[in-house]
Amino acid sequence: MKKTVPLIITFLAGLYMIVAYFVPHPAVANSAQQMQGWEIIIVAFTLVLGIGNLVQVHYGKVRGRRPGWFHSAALLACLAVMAAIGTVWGVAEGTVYYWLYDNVMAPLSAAMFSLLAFFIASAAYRAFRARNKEATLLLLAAVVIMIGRVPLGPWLWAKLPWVGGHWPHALDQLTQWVMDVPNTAGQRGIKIGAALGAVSMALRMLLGIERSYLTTGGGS
Amino acid sequence: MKGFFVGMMRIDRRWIFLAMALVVAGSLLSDIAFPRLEISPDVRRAYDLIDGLPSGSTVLFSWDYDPGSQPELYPLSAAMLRHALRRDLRIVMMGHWVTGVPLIEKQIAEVVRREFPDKRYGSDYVNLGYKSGQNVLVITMAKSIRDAFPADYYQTPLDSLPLMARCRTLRDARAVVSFSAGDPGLIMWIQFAWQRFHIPVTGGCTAVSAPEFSAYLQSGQLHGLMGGMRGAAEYETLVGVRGSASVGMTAQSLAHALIVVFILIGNVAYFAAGRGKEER
Repeated sequence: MKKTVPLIITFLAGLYMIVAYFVPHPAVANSAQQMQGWEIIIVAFTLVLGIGNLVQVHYGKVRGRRPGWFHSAALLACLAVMAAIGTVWGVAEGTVYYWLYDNVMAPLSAAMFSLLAFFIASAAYRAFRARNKEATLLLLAAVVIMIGRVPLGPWLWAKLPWVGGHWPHALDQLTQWVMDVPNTAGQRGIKIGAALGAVSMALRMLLGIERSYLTTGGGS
Repeated sequence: MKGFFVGMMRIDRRWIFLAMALVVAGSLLSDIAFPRLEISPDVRRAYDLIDGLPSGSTVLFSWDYDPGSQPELYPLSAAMLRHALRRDLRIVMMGHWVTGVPLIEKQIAEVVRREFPDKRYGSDYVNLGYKSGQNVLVITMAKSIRDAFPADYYQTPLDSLPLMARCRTLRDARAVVSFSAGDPGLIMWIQFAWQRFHIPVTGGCTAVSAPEFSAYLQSGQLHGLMGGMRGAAEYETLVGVRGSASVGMTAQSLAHALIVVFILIGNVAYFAAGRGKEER
């Protein structure tokens, strides 16, 4: 019973949304829109669930004085301070919340993202090796894209003594070809595969074969 | 000699970090600029879409990124916002990323109010803010924006905003522009706004995610794209503004060149140390 009722609800709700997609009758369309409104509200509550989970995990870490507990304490303190400030004084431009966002959160987030440049440089130096034909092709494609997609590449290419004069746009064309042909072919394959996987997963959920969303356990 | 190359392969990665930091900082502090920046067809197409809209048309701008992607996407959204305002388009702003919504406020302060003081909130632009729901939100907006957003970001009822009296559903927008750092973002707008409601979609994304849009560009589902800082710099060139993306292109160029040099050194050391032969 504990599982049967949610399975029936999932099946009926899913089936109804499929029907609503193909049937434009106002009665069906309006009720489907009503259900979509509920979904927006449910999704909003997942934010609350996420915050609850975050507090639970990090509070446990602080309480148990586990390694790195002070990072968890800092996270909880920031969470409480930002939530309190935003709730009391608002979040619009000119508020304390906005100042903290613009001067603390934004630079810290950008700094985290910018670390990627350092790690990519280090990883490229250590791991990007022409070990075999496939790796060499990948390496050449990466070099062409990295140089061809920034102004330095075409600028250097144009300065090359012979090829630059005869084929001034060859690097641009090669870069565009790599993006348009091999890259697109690979991307299409991935997307078609992912879409088929999503359709089959949706069907499995509708038919009650896939039940992992009900419990922490696996599939059927 | 072999020992030297083996040593090169085991070089402390902090030297690599230092070299990268020096190249990026040095190029940002200097005034070196590479002259040639070709406008790619994808950026041209995005520009043409906005440029071709009749004056007074409504366009929806969606800020689907957070501060982590700000260095790449902020100049891009600024350039496109500037272009749309110059063309006298009406802009409905929103975001699918809760941590990115203050960036809309920032852009309003730094671009709209500073450069276009004659534009009025409520009649020329509106900020709807954030609402959860992702694709369901888009579908709901296509039926009624009021159902999705009863009030704007400042809690003003939509009925009291003149722009929203003319833009009642997403279908009233002539185009959707998404600045996207992932999901929800540009792909979701293509799948729902274009595929389901035939509203032209364009926008920009981080450089690392640009390759995944090539299939959508070729099929015509995406009306142009600005990929990363390079795309933003191209758009800045088209709009005639030298913004932070154009300035950052030198740093990006040299950083890419440095990575290529590292790859070359790494491979020379690898083969000179005899590893290639051993593995074969």
